[in-house]
Amino acid sequence: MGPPVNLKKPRNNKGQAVLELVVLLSLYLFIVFAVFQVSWLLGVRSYVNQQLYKSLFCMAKGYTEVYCKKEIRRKSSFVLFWGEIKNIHLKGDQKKWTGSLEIQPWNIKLKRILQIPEDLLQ
Amino acid sequence: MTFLIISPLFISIFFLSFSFLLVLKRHNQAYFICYKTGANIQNTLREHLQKLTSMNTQARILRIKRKIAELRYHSALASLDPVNILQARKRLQKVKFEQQSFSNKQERILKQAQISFQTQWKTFKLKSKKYIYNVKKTFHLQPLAVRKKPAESDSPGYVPVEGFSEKQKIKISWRMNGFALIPQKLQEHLGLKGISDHHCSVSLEDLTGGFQMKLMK
Repeated sequence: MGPPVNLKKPRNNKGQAVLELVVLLSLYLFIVFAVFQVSWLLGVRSYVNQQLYKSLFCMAKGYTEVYCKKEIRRKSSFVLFWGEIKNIHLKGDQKKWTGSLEIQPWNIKLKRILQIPEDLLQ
Repeated sequence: MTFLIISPLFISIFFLSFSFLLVLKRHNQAYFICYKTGANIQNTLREHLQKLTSMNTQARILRIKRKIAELRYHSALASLDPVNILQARKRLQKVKFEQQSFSNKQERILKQAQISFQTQWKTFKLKSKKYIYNVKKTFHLQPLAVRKKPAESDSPGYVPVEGFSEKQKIKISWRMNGFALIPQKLQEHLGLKGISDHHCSVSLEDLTGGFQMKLMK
């Protein structure tokens, strides 16, 4: 007598590799994009913050509020591919200027103050 | 296998995007460094300027003293009294000497302003070498935009020139390379042109309470 013969039909594994790939790839892409978006957002936040500070210099130089606001929007558009700058407020007098804005839809609020000459002197 | 193919692609996108962000941030940082340098230079110059202008009262007193001494000398000459003439001449010489040493003090302040300006400028140039290049400065003929009043006096006062803010202004200009992260030879090979010119200007304003710093357009 020879060995017992397996009469069961062998399992079809053809789609398993594709399924695993789809699951793993989507997970991989999710992680990659999440990391990318978070780090990009941090970078954008820091850049827009600098831009807000720069707009206070713009005010201090005597340019109009409208012009300085327009400059923030224009320069920020280089890095803000999805999202926008809202509620920009710039005000000040001869010595102190304050500015605030929001980055939407992330609801990031930024505020900067510039005092001349205190902030410029080491 | 798929991961091996797409990972380098993502890494490249990561690298490129963050390099772009870094370049933009460097541009802003260069501006802030520029304003800080300009402000620090002007602040030092302001101190010299205040010292110089605060001496104006003393300069005026010396001019009056000189005028009186000269008048006395002339009247002594008219009196033909040798003792009187000798005394008047001595007094006049004393006042002239006082004026001379006072004028030297004023000159020294002007020179100190020039030296501190040069020193700060050199330090800035050394510090900024990493970020920017072709740094230049433009300003009026001398670091302090003042003129003698009266010009021919031995102990003149120093007053701000006409259009003081514009002439006291220090304009710092520089060049930035947007592709600084890429080696120079590769940039040339690829024909990349990321060079841009920038500038910032800081000056002083002559207000009633003294000299105030002012950012210029």
